[in-house]
Amino acid sequence: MAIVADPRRLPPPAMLPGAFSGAAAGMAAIMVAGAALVTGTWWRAAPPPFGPGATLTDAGRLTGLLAGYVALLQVMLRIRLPVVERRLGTDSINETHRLLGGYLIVLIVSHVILITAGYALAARSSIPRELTTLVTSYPYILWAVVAAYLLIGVAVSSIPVIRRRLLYEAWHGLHLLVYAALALAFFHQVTVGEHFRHQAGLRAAWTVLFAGVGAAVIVFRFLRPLYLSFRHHLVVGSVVRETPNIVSIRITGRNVHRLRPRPGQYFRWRFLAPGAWYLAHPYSLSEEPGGRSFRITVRIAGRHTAMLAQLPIGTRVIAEGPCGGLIAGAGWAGPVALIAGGIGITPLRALFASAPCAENAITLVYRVHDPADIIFRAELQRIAAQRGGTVHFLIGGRGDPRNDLSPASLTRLCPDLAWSRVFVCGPAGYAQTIRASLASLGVPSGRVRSESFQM
Amino acid sequence: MRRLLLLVSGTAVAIVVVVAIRTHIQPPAHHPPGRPSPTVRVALPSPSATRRAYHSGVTTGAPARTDYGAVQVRVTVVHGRIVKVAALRLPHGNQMDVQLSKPAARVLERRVISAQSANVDMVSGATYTSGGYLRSLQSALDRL
Repeated sequence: MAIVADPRRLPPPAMLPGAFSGAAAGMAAIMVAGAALVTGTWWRAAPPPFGPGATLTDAGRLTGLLAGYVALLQVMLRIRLPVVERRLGTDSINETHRLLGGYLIVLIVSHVILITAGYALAARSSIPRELTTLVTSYPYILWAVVAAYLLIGVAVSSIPVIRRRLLYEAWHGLHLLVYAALALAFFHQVTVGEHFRHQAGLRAAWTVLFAGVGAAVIVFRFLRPLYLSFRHHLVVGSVVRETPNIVSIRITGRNVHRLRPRPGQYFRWRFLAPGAWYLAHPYSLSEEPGGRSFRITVRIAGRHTAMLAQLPIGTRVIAEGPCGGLIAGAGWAGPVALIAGGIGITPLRALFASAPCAENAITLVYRVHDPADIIFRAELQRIAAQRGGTVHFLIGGRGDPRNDLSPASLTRLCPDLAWSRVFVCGPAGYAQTIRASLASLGVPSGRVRSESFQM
Repeated sequence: MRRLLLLVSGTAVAIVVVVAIRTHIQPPAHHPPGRPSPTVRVALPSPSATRRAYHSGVTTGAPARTDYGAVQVRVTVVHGRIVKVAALRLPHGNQMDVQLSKPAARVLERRVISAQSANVDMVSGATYTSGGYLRSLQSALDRL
């Protein structure tokens, strides 16, 4: 029987400092404020509803404007803006992106239905006939229809059942069409949209907004990674086999500390070697950054990762980032718990060495399927000895009774859990189980940061 | 999925509410929302200038330019009374313009005939068309 901490004797967890949730709430508030601003613009600038079908048309204009705004938010979430990455963290960004993706499709479909129905009523024509009129007699509507089909296609390809059947490259390539779709859709907004057609100021503001987001895409996704990689001259310095199927790659360069990643963050790495250059993959830094090089540690799980084990020394590297929100900010003086599943140890290895915490109060739980999969054993034990930390190795699969991740077992492994700051990294299912256990132990979600990956 | 349903239904309720409010509180006809058009106000004749009888005849007004295109009317005056205003040119840049301006012209004609002047309320939702219509009408009346 495991020891279960009595929650009544603990300080109320919600009152402890160091919550991450404030950042997420702040981001949500900014997004809602933007939507309110867009709605306010529509309220002031859209022609007042008049005549048959005008109410539908009015609602259709609003849904169209909101769709444009949400589409821009979706892009901004995805361009690895450092502040968004740090504050929200990858899992939260992904969840928000999925949620807003579905929302965007609903807005676009409503926009099409409402506008067509409204115009059909005004013209006393049928919906199919009005659709034809819209596409043939209004400028750029055909472009917008193409854009809508592209966006719906991208959304459908991201439904988990379908996504699993697609090659990553195919899915990712399809996703890049979003940029084309947004560019196509922009023109019908400013030429047919009633707000923009006759209000030069609003049209200019909307154009600047779209152009600004487009420029941000180019800067943050293309120019900045290229510039940093060439300025710092990032190359593969060494490749070390940790276990038969895990390799560590050391990336060296000039003044790499100026890239300023935090321990626990990752870059999206692109290795300019034949057969690998067209893909960028996220790999966490597996040691605290600060030296003259970065180390990443990769589990060989497919064709691409197998290629990484054979990268020639000196291969050019392009790094996009730093990304991710597994960050231990300063000012935390309580205990810290790190819970790793498999290769998820990599960012937590960096945090284990550097996360600020109360004296002797950092605990690392590290689960692997097979003892041969344990990496960094000596490093982890050395750090534990230096910092007065504790490492628990759990060996066995998910169903193995020796390492179930129930609330009781977690409390036994980390007795201070209820008032700890908790970092979780592992496969998606593992991270979800841990988060559920933490929730049932009363650890506020604002003090848990988790990042997961699909194998 | 649950969060998406919440978000969608919340948005739907919000949109229904704001659209309903906007439909019920249509702004006064003389003030197009967002940008009151100074040209419209300047063109409106002062009340004292409109109380005169017109010479009988058929006259075409000057084309009045609006953001949506030119508007031009032809007025018919019989025994000093305006009996007919025909819209010769109305905004027709796209289907929606045609659908809005045609009924607006019919409403304006009725108003003009009953007021016997170009000093009538504009049609809300078609303020640009109304402004051009009344300016062209005034220029025709000035010649009679």
